[in-house]
Formats: sequence, C-alpha cells, structure tokens
Amino acid sequence: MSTINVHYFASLREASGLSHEEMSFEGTYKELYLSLVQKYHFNLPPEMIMVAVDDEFSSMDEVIKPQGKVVFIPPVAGG
Amino acid sequence: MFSLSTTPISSELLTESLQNEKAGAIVVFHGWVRDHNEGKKVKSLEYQIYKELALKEGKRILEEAKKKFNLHGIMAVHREGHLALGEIAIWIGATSSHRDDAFKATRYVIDEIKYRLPVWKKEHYLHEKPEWVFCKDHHHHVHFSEKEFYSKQSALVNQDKLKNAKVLVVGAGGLGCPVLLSLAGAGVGHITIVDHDVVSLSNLHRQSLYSVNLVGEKKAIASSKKIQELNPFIHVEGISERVKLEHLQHDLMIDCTDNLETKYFLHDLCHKLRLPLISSSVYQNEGQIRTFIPGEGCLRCQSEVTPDDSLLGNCNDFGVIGAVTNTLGSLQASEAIKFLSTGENSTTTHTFYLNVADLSIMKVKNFKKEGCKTCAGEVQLEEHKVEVSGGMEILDIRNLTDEEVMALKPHNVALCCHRGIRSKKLAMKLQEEGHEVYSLKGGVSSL
Ligand SMILES: [Zn+2]
Repeated sequence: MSTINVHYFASLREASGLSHEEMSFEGTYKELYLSLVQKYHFNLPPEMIMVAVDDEFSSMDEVIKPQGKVVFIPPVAGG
Repeated sequence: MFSLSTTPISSELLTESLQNEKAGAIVVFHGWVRDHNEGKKVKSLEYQIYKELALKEGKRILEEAKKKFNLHGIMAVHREGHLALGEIAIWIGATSSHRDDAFKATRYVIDEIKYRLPVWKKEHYLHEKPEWVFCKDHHHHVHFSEKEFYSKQSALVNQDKLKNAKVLVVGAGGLGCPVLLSLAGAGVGHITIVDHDVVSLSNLHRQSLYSVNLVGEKKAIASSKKIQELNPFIHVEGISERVKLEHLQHDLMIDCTDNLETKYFLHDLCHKLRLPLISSSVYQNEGQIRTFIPGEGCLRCQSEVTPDDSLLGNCNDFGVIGAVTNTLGSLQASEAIKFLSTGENSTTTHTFYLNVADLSIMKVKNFKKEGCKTCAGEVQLEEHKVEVSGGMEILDIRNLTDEEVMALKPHNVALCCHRGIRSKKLAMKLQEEGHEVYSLKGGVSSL
C-alpha cells in the first residue's frame, strides 16, 4: 500500500472539512476520488474534477504514484 | 447650433445659414491648423472628441452666449478627425443688430470651447513621433501629453506593443472592473467590453467602476465610459450583448465571466479561432488563473465533459468579497500586460491557485494530451444557447399570451414562465427573428 497526501480545493475542502490528509490507497486517481465521494458525499462526478500530482496536472485514469501529493480541484466559476 | 463635423467646414454655407435681415453685423471666427506648437514643427493634426459630452457642452456654451449678449443667431462647428495645415478646425458665427454683441459673443464662445470642450489633439510633427495633447486650458498652455501619462511605467512595459494591442474583455463585473482599470491605465490601445448585464446594487461592493447612480445602467456602456475618462489616449468600445463571433477581431481575450457554461464556451471558441485567452475564477477566498495559448494544452486535455453549473452555484450562492475578486482581476491584467509586452507570462505553463485567506499559493504545471481535438482547433461549438440560469433582467410572461410576448419584441431579457418550457419555445422563436432573448431555465420555480 502506498501512502499519499491528499489535498482538497474549494468546494471539496468545504465538503470534507479538511484541507489535506494522509491515506493509503491503491488504484487510479479516479478510483480514489470515487472512494472519497462515498466517504464525504462530494456531489461532483469524477469527470468534472481535475487532479494534480506533485504540482502537475495528471489524468484521472493514471495509477496512483506512491508517496505523491495529490490535489483534487473542482471547477470554479465565480467572478 | 453646435455641431461636430468629420468633413471640411464650408464657411460660405454656414454664413449663408445665419442670414437675417434684422442683423446689422456678423462676426465669423475661424480657428486654423497652424504649422508650429511650442517650438515643434507641426505638419497636420488629428482631433478626437468625446462626442456625447462635447455636444452637450457645446450647446450649453451657445445658450449662455445667447443669454449674455443680444444676438439674432449663433452657430459653432468643431472639426474631428485628421486635418491638414490651413484647414478650419473650428468655425463660429454670431449675428446681432450692433457689432459689439457679435464680437463679444464670438470671443466668449471660442474661449469657453477651448476651455471646456473635451477635445484631444494629436499633433503630427515634422521630425518627431506624433503625440496626443489635451488642450484643457489654452490660456495657460497646460498640455497633458500621452508620453507623460505613461512616464511612470515606461521602463517596465513595451508601450508601443500595448498601444497596438486589441483586447476583448468578456464580463465587466467583479473580475472585469479591475482588469479594465488596469488595462486602460496601462495603455492597451483597443479595449472591447462585452457584457449583457446591467448594474445592480449588490454589485457595488466589489465592482469599483460603478456607483449608486449607475444602478440599472448597462455595464458594458457604463464601464467603457468610465475607462475612457480615465485614459483618453485609447479606443474603448462597449457592447451590451452576449459574445458573438463578429466581436472577435482581437489579439487576446480575457474571460471575466462567472459561470462555467460561458467559460467553457469562450475556452472552446478561443481554441477554434486560435485566440489566446486569460481566464480566472473565484470561489470564496480562493481564486485561480490560467492563460491558454491554443495548441499548448487546454481544459479538454483533462476532461471532455463540460461541468454543470447547477452542481456548483455562483457568487450569489456562496458569497464573494471585493478584495478577493480585485486581487484576481489585477493578476489577470498583470498577466495580460506581460503577455502583450513580451509574448510570454507565468500562467501559460502553470495554473496559479491563490488562497487569499491563508495566503497560500499553488502552481500546477499544465498538461497537454496528445491528440486533443480542442488543442488542434477541431472544435464543435455548442448551438447558440437559449436557456440561462439568471444573471439578466427577467420578463415574467405568465400572464401574457404567446402573441403578446412576440409583439413586445423584448430585448436583452430572459423570459420566465411556470416551468421554463413555454419561455424556451418563445425565446427560440424570438432569437430566430434576431432578438437577444433567453429563457430562464426551470421557470419561476428556479427563482
Ligand atoms: Zn487540449
């Protein structure tokens, strides 16, 4: 199992009540996000989420890199 | 009475029109284009006039002259555009029974016009670059020059590149206001503002171009006037409509809108037209900003899906602070000025996330998917949209028949019925007839 540091942005931070947390997970970023949807009742589908891994955008279909910093970023629209 | 003319002034015709058998005198004054000013050789000049204001003020001056002096007639014409040496720049004629009144009135009018009319003069010199000069007070020869206007920033930017740049700003709200102020101040030569909304009281806490007396006015028009007053050396155009293809003849678009449907539409449109785009969004204390250069990575590289606004809410739902939108808007302007000056900036390669609450910053390297169609410009733009979720004036059609709505030919409004079905049908019909009409999604139940 690989430990990763998961960060939440904007509305995901509000819904989870956390800015970041450590966890262990194996699979793709999409699978990780779907498990978080279960846990925190995020209302956004994975197709609407961007993932950044170690400060680079990545594909949700990539397999999770061990020890990485993962940020889930929802779309933001105010102005 | 008072008028502006883009074509040469014919003194004979104007004199003739003042013919009056009661008059014993006519005094005519011609202001000419002379060949020198403050030691420089002038070869021609160009007048740029703030028309709405000039016409009002000119009319007022002539009315004052009529009150002060005993006149039969008075008329003044100011030229605009490019004038050669020796041409008539201003023509004033006054008739009176006795010559003294006509002399005094003519003198009064020319002095007041020189002092009060919002006229800008660009002098083309023989041996130097042309310069705009504001003739605010001819008595004291106080000239405001374009060079001086930019003197504090000239070491930091490429002023000529900014002057030649054409920038389209979509949305003149919380992000748009600081963007427009900074771009106008920096001297971006052509600024087009597209916004179909009107100013409302709840905008004022963050939209610093407006004030209480402008509530109900069109944002595109109010904001363009405001920044034109700030910098008369630039060209500003305000369009109170939704973005259309014919608006797009620019070097850069700045997206200051506040909903995802429009943001994605602008994003796709820019990729189709190969137009660079600087986009920003704000959510409470967090904001993000990114520059898109078509072909170098886009939102569709990450996901083909257009996010649904209804899952997110907007400023009306989650609240927004002026200091935060002003910060992000200023960053957009700064990115635009860098990009126009040098061809590069920091948000082309990275998306920048700023949390104003804890002042943390995250920069994420952008991602380009091989074979992305949007990056390649193969974009299928969505149909001209009919449904909106608010953000514009609402016309309640529940007590109107279809015929009555069609006869009203409404403009720039969203029709609202019980469930948004009849309003959609009518909005589509009205759009086909060329009216800027939308349907409020979900009808009254969504309000
Ligand atoms: Zn792409």
